[in-house]
Amino acid sequence: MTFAWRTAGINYLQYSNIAARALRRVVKTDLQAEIAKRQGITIKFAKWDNGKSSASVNIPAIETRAKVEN
Amino acid sequence: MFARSAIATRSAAPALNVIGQTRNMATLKEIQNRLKSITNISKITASMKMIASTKVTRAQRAMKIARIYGNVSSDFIEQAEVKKADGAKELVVVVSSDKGLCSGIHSSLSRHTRKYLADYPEAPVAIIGDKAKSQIQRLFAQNMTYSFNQIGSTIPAFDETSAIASVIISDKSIEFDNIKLVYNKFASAIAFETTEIECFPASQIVEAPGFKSYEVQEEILENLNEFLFANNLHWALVEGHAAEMAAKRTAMENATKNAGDIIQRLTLQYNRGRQTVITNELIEIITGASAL
Repeated sequence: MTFAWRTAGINYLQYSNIAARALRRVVKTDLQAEIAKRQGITIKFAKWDNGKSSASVNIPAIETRAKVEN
Repeated sequence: MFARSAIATRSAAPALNVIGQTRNMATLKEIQNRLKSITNISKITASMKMIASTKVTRAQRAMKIARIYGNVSSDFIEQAEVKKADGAKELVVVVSSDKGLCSGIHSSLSRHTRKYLADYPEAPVAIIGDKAKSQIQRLFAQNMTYSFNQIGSTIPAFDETSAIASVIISDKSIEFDNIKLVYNKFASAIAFETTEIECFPASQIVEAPGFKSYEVQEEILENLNEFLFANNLHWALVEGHAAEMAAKRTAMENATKNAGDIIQRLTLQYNRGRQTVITNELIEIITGASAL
């Protein structure tokens, strides 16, 4: 059994996060406020190679997601 | 191998020197200036303490929940009797944060990591948080693979954790089998302990003696394993956050207390100095008057 999303190149975490976001969008309005607090990811990362770090960048998957949603 | 527990209480001893230096020569003006600045500092530390204490309660609540999830995944590893394969290469993930002023939280993490790297100088390292990064990169820049920042100002969300986890597991250029998470375990409101969580690759889980009773298909195992890693990482992040906030509160409480001590000493010194000046002036006036 192969999962279609894995063939598309996303891992389980990304897959389950997409599912979770879909769920968060449809919760009742009185719960929306609580959810909104937990949104917005600011993490940046830098890849290190041979003792040198590259510039910090946003996590690519998050960036694509933000682009799609706006 | 395991962490030395670090007690988060430490008093600010150097403050005493300041008074020692000024004992003889300080003018009243200087003492007054110093008093003013220390009063301001103590106001800042007092309010930082208030902020940290409100954050501690929230962080502890989040930690309790994350612990439940973490215990489920560690129970699975324990029940399946997963063992680390001989010669497996480990990636060390240091779970720290960006903010300082919280006593030995970050240095305890980097000390633990440095000790490990002394034994395994080839091990790759990924660091979450700027504080531990700056401490480790000085000696082990060659080992660094990833550094993450801008996390830890609030309670970490699972969304954020999985973003970090995805970056680490989807990179095929770093060679590692196991992942070792180094984080601060919240022991009590005033103590933390630097500990490790082990994460295993699917190949080692399959070989575990107790694994067969779970009847998990290989495809699903890969999913489960990715989730286990993210779950453990989340646990480490949330618990580390709680430990950091608790340590920050104690550190700020001590700072405020020490500032209070200094203020008391300086006020005494200031009043004495003022009295001496008045006495001197009086003596001068009286001697001047009697000389006439």
